[in-house]
Amino acid sequence: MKKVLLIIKREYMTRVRKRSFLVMTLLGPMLAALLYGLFIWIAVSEETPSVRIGLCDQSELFIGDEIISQNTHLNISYPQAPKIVDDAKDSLRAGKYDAILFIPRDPINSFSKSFVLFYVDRLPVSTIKYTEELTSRILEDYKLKMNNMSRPEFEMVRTRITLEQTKVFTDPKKEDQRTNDAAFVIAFINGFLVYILILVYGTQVLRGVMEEKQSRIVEVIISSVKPIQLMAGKILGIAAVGLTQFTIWIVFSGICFMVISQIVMGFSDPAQIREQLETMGQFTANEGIADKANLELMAGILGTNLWVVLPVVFFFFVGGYLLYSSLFAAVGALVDTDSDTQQFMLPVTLPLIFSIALAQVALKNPDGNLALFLSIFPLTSPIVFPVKAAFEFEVSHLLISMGVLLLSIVLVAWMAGKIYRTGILMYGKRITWSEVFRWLFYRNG
Amino acid sequence: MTPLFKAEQIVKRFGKHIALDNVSIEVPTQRIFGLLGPNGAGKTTLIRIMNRIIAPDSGTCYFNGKVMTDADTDRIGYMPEERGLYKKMSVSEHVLYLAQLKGMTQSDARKSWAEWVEKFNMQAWKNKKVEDLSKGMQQKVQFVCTVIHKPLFLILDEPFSGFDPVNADLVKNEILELKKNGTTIVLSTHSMASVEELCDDIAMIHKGQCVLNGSVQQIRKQFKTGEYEIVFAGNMVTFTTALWAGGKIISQTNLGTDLWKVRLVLNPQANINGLLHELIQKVEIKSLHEYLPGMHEIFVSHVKEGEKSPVSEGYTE
Repeated sequence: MKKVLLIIKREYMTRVRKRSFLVMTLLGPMLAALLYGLFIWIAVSEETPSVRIGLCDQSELFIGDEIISQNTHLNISYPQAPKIVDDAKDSLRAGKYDAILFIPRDPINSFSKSFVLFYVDRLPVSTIKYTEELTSRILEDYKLKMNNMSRPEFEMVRTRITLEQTKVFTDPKKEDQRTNDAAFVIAFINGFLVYILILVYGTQVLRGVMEEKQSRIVEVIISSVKPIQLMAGKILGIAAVGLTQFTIWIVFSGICFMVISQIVMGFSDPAQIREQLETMGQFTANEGIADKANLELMAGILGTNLWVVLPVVFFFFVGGYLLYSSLFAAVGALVDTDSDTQQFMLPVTLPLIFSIALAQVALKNPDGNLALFLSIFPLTSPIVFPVKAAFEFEVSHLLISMGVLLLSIVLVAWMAGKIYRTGILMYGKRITWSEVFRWLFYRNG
Repeated sequence: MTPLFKAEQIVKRFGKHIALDNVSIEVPTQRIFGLLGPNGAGKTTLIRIMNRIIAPDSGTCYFNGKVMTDADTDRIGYMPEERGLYKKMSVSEHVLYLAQLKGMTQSDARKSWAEWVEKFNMQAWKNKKVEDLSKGMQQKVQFVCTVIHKPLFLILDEPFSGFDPVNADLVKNEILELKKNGTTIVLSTHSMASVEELCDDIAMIHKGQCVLNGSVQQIRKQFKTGEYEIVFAGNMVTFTTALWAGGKIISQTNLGTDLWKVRLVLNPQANINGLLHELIQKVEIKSLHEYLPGMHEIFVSHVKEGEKSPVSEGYTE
């Protein structure tokens, strides 16, 4: 055991002291924060180009309307264009307008599809959305006037329902208030995080084993310790590196994001930011609805019981790492030259890539049978269960998944150990898969 | 005295291939033991079993009189044929790491390392990274890593391969020094010159079997052919007449004016003293010694004999 600790210490220290570790650990969050800052900066400082949308108004309802003729919001103006469609199109071609908004002769009884926007260069989505909202609003006002109704009365009558989705548990005491949207975001983050972490640190195990084999130090080491101890020490040492880096990232990212936000916000006019943020989400006509949805999403994310989700994600990350890094260690022991790497790596990376691809299934239908299978099958569960964990799950299901994963780790580590200790001593020989299979039955003490 | 290491009826198979077929050897305490054999004979497998890197399918190893256990590996120093170091570590860290893996405490390891730094004059580069060292320096470091924990049993697989003559001499002297201080050494090598120079005992492995085992002197005597080599000053015809029925000349070389070297084999009834008595009256004897076959000849003849023997058939590598 003391020797395993020595190996863990060496694996940990040599990696943590590397310049690349320092750079990655500090630069990672800084880069992410910078990108985030840049994103805000662009959003805030971008000059909205002025857009001229010519009105080809067959109904003549819009031309005189104050809301549309005096609009300056988003730098959009709506000048009058020729009433004949072909003429209007010609003037669009001539570059007099950026787009032509065609309004049918009888807008009130027309299908909404009969409103057409002609363009040469595609307009920004926000401009199209805004124009849609504005057009609807003017028509609404017109209809209200026809029915002798005021806007406040109309707002009172208008009703929009969004369905709140709540799962009912077999255990009546249990309840979950999260909205599906929040769960969706968390699920995606969970799955992706575990996938990236397993891949990054699993590959480090692979490289470490290859380095020992190729530099021929391994035979000296295993004359002092058992191969399985060396393998375990390496896997655990690199896990410690991963946890260190992860912790620093979390803490340091928090600080960086706060600082960057302060800087970006500090240099800009707060009123401008507010206006900019408003135009990103909602529009005059149904003010507040998009905003409310965003707030609910944020509240949902924040309201997620992190004390349940985080330990689950953590368990499956560690479990998945142990499972996959054992396989990576075995693969590293098989590789003699770098050119062999791909051949042996594929069977290990394939289920990993498969997991993240199939995690979509769990995202779309977290309670389906396929999701259930994927969240128990040990090669996919490290990624799929954390995805499912963002939604509601039964404790018994969690326990089964954990149990299967733990058993599989023991089994896979045992098999990987057999391959590893034979493989690391095979120099200058091309190894075939059938040979590898035979090694499982060698007695190596 | 009990041998330091004893292997009894070791069998090791890899699939259908029998790497070691019932091999038994004894390595006497405080001796240098040469392990010989052509490539692919099973030497490395036997050495790995001695190191407990792999386990035999059957058979038992004894260390210091007891059945060998994992704990005994701390008393073994092993320098494999294929050897390397962690390139990114500093020399000191590397040596101390391997010493501690052999069960040394950090302070003991430091003390021992300081002695070796002194001995091999390594002050200038003990804190450099391994990858910055020349190949010769790396070899010295490898040797120090092997012996830093003062092993009782030292196993060196082709220790001189890749060493320049200066470093080879350095290592050779250290090996003799270690032997004087009580270490038992196993030397696997293809260099028959170093076997004759260093080894007290040898075992020869061929096609997974131990075909020869004993002290170097004893084995060379065992293979002696009753030949003598005589250098004399005088006339060749006179010499032949004096020899008469005492022996048969195998070869003769003229070394200069009236100076000859003759290899001869005695006739069954003759003895060397009688023959010398006859010769000494006719020619001037410069030297006479019994001709013993070199390890090289013994090695080659055994390998060739093995090629013909039916025992060795049934597997390929």
